[in-house]
Amino acid sequence: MKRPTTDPRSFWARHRVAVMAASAVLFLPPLAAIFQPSGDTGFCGTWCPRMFFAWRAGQSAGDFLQGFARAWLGVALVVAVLGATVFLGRQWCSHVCPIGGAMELGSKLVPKKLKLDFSGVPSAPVRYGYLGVYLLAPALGIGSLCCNYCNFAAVPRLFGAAFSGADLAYFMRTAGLVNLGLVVVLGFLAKGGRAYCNLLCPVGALDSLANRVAARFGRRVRIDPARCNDCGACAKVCPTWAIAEEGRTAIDPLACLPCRECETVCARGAISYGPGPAGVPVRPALPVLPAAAREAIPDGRTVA
Amino acid sequence: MSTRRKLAFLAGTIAVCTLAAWWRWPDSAHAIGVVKRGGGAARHAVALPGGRDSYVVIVTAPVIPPWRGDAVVAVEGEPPMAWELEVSRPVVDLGLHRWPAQEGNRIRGLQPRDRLALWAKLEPPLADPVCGMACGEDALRRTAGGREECFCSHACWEAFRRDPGRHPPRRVDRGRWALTLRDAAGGAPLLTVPIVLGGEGAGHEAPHH
Repeated sequence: MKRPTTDPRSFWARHRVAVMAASAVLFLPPLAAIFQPSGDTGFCGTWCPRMFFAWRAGQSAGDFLQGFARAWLGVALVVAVLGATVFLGRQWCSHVCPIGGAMELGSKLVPKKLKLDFSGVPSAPVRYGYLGVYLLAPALGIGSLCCNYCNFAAVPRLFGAAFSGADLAYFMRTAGLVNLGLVVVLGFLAKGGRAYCNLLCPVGALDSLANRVAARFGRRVRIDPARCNDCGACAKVCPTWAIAEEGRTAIDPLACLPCRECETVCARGAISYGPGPAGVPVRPALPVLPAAAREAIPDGRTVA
Repeated sequence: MSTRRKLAFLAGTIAVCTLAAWWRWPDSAHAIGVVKRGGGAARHAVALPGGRDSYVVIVTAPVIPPWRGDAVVAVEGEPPMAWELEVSRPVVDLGLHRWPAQEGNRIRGLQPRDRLALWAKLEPPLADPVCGMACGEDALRRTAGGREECFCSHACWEAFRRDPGRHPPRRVDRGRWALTLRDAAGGAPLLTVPIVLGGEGAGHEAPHH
């Protein structure tokens, strides 16, 4: 039995890799075209989406608000990202974010045998432990994770270092090398390329909260329990290890990016992207494979 | 996954991240200031622990109206510090914004509301490998083991020659300098960022931004 070759996912979902590549070209050096009209060369400065919401000890309310004004494009970006997430899921993270996208694309070039599997790390405790310290450490005067550990600073400079002395200078110090190490280990070498996004991105942490809180109202990747046979194929391809296999298969909305890789491997068409939960969306009918055929699919990828 | 395991990861993350937030990397620092007529100041001095061969200092500063013009960047102080300057600007200028141009240590065409991001690589001056004194112009300079060393006296040179392995290369590890921007027309100060090497506040307290 042959599965239909047509992919029922939207153009946006089918061409995610191309969208990520286009985003990387537009946001990252050498072009960095998105930043140039505002006089910026990257996310540091007016576009910083991270620093403005971390209050520092000794800062007055005026200083704090001035930080919003200084990074007004970063503020606008975060508001837009969170707003879009409420209705559409984490599309910024899965498709547009040039930093996560560059790490994921880079990881696709790394041989499988070199990949590191972080799926044993529970993402929510690490992500929110990190976010808690990110917010509290500067407020308590302990120090700051902001800037010192930032893939939004490191990844663009990694692309620019071959062309720009200023970008190269970023890596000529211990902090730059530590950031490079984090990007390489949690990005390029990570299975799926998204461990940094899943564990250490403060914007991603806020975004995943919005994804969870508004899951009832917006479009999300969902599993139809009537169709799912808990084969586990979807969990194997999830870059953010968001699909739990313990008991019945379920998607963790705190970790899920709507990359929809899981949809492509579900032989029963049990996974789809749409509104919920009143009506669990069912995409155009895919044939349900007979049990014998299902058992012949070792990882759910090939159906023939 | 058990709740106990999740709590262990949460506690571990909080501990590691708190340590990471508290820790200051000893070879770089970031100062924020303003470039303005009459001399802008940085929010705080760049305070670095001594003992490194090189440091990177990042200075970000907007240009405050009404000043406009060309600026000359320098690292001032004694003994002279070797340094290199890089100014952030796009790799490919798409013509969507007017950018000040860097020519060596000079930045041309600065205008109000420009936002400068300077990267200065600093190399503290060589010190006598035996006694650690800064080398003045009259210091003895000798090439030993393929590297140039300087000595404050013949006694130190002799001590070094007897046992070079005991005296690794040293650089000045204490002192005060300033990274300055001056108006190219007349030399009036536009921004002064104090750099404190090995002094008070140059340990963990060295602020990064």
